[in-house]
Amino acid sequence: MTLGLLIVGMLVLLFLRVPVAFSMLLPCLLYVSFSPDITLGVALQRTMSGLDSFPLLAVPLFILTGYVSNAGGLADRLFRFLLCLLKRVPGSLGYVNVISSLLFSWMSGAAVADAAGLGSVLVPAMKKRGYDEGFALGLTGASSLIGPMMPPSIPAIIYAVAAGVSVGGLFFASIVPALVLTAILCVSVAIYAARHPLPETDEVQGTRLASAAYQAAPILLTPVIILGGILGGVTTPTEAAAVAAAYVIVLSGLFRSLSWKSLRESLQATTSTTGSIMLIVAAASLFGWIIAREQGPQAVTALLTSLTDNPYVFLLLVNISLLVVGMLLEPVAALLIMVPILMPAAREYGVDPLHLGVIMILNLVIGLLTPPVGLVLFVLSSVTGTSVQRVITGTLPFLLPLFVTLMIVTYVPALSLWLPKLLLK
Amino acid sequence: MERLNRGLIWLEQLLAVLILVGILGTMFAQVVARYIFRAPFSWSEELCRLGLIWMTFLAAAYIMAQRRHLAVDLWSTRVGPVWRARADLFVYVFVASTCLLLCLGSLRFVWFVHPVGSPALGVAKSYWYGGVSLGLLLMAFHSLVHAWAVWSGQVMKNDTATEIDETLQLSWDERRGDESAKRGPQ
Repeated sequence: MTLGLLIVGMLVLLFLRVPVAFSMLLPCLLYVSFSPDITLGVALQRTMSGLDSFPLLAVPLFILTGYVSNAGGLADRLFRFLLCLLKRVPGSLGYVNVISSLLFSWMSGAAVADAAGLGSVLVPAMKKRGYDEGFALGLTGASSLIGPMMPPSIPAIIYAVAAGVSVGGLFFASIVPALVLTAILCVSVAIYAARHPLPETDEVQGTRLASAAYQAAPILLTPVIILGGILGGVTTPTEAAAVAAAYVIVLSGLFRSLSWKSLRESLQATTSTTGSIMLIVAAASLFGWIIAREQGPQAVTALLTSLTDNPYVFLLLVNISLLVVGMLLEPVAALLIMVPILMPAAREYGVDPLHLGVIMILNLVIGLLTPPVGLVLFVLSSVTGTSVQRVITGTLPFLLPLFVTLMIVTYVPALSLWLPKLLLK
Repeated sequence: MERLNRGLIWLEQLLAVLILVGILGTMFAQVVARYIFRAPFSWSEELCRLGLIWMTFLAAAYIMAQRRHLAVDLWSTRVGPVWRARADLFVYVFVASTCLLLCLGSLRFVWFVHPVGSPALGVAKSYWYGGVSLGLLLMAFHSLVHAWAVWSGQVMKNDTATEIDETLQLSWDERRGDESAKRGPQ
């Protein structure tokens, strides 16, 4: 009963446009105020303890890496290299779109940054070369979801902290599913290119492949620093984030493509995004503690086990519920609310926490492409000057490859678990 | 009031950025100290965690001033400016009340934990919780400034949004087709 009131209260406040963090905070404070055995001091303690975590320090540092890579023109260099590499392939710009997202995802863990950075360049270029506008918008939106899947992923860090699993483990668990998503999107491009004859790209006429590769090569060291550092035991994920951020700042400086003004703006944007995400983390910490205190996870586990004892059906129910939640909530907030609820039930069904993490992240990032609160839709609309309705109709066909990826990732756990088992023995 | 508000936003932004630079520098120095000088720090992790708490709440305060906290907007584009202003007023008063309730309700606790020091740095626990309390107080202040602006019919200018947020906001404004959308709670 109390738990129901808490959740209904939060949903009502969300509907009234109260910021997500405060929608969680006030019902919790009322709960604490009316509980005879806890004080508001405990509420403050639980709120702060959500942030008092070393792995969470990686979040602002990876966000900074992404912002500086964009501001320092590193994403442009990768983009030009891919254009040179694939210019003779039919549908080259489509492949460049997908693979740029993959390469950029090694520096940025957020879909919005990817959609904003690449959408403004790729969608007009694709339209100019004869691609259907809807296809260009949909592909850009769908490929931007590789960002929060591939390490360093901000949702992965948040899940790892909330679920108490290794950040490095989850990073490695998400690599193959992110590559599956990339491959499926490339197949979509191939099908489109086979049906629609497209001219070769001429955006990089006069630029030699060797020169473009030389310009892009140092940037491709960023994932080596991050994943190699973690895998080799040289750095923790947080330290890897700091080294990667320092590396892209120095690199952009050496390329003379990052002004002091751009650096200052990147730092400001990082604190702004961090404040927004971390306030939700702090509020969700109190929310999660109260849910656990009211034995919410046990209630959900009992309900699910009374419905089915089949882990495949359980995973299907998880997928459906997360897709609905993802349509309404931003991935970080949704993860923080759903992880404490679903984790004990998943354990009952024998689902590995790393596998559950990959499933949850993929489900919730798909919500970035669905109305009513699909943030990527709005970003694409604004950076390309297209109506949101046009972006939605362009994105709809791409929900099919995304759902196919989701089903493969859900029902083939080895895709998520093989690499961490191999590398992190 | 407007000058105080702007001064606070500037200070909060500056401090948040300085803390971020400090975290980056400390984490990088930790790796260098461990592998090059073979002398790992014992204090760096705790200092960065303290920094993260302060940076989060200082940044949360100034993004409250810029109305850019994440919120779910399902209906505001479908109602007129009067209803939107009423809803905004509710949001600001609500946020200010929540912040003040937690901040003032936990003051005794912050005072109580003051003598307790952190393990590595020995920093009093009240400075850890104090970051949260100060951030809540600043958020309450900024929310009340917004509430007053909406109540008195003033237009608050969002002049420090990042590029992505500006374009995002622009897209919303274009779709709404009116200038008043810039006063939304985000």
